[in-house]
Amino acid sequence: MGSKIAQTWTLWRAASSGEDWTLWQRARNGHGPSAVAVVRRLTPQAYSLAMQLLRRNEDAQDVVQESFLRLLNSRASEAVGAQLSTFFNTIVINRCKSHLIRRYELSAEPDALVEMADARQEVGHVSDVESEAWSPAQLHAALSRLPARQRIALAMWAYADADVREIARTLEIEVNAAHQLLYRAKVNLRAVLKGST
Amino acid sequence: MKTQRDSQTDQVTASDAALRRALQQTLGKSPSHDLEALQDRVVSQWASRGISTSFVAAGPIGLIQTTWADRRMPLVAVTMAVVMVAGLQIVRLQTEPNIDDLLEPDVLALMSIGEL
Repeated sequence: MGSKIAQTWTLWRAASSGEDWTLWQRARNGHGPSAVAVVRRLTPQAYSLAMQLLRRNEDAQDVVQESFLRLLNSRASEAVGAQLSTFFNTIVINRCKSHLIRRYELSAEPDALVEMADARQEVGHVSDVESEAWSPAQLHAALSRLPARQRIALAMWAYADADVREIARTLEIEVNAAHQLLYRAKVNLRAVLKGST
Repeated sequence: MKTQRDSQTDQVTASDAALRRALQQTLGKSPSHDLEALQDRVVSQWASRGISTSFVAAGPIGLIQTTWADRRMPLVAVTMAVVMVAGLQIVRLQTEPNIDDLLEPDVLALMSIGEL
């Protein structure tokens, strides 16, 4: 019992002091407790992110499982210096994107392109610094009301430290269009949040 | 001196930073679904791909467990060790007198009692 507690404590300390990659490496080398620690650490945020993007429990769970398999087979060099959690978020977002494409929710339809082009007209209502007052439940609800592309753009920006170029590459659109898309997503999210308060 | 445009840009940046922070905090508050079952599935999925998920004890037993798992000690070595121990045991038993030998009266004892 004592040894279990000691080991859990060691794993927790390793995880919380930024040694996630070490844990992951040990997990890849076949160390069971490290694998369990990595899974327990990353699952809640991965599931939450997948739910924000996909809005379906079954799909979100599938994405989390797929993402862990992808993580197991990836190399640390692919992360380019990012934290394990940020790297994992990128994997989850990409898997969600594939699901949304399969669900025909992520196509660059003419309507979507027109919507993006309209974004410029809405400049000027983003100066309210009140975001910290929003509860997670409000944010979840507001995110779920945005179109899939805007959800993906926001998730990449907020959870994967992605810049506009990366968002453009992921969504296979022009950099300028990605810039507009992200801007539009922020404006819409704030508008929904304002409407809900 | 800051222009009005600079001031607006600062406001947007601060607002964006606050929004990003708020969004990041939502990931910590996972929707209340049964994540235990999902985590168990992921762990067994990893286990099926070659990761041992059995618990390793701390201390000397853990060391033996880890050494055993890491070096993948072949079954042949274990079998050879068992055979060797069994062989040594047989040799040892053969060199020791058995019960019949011990019960056999020796010549000197027979002479002393006048049997020879």
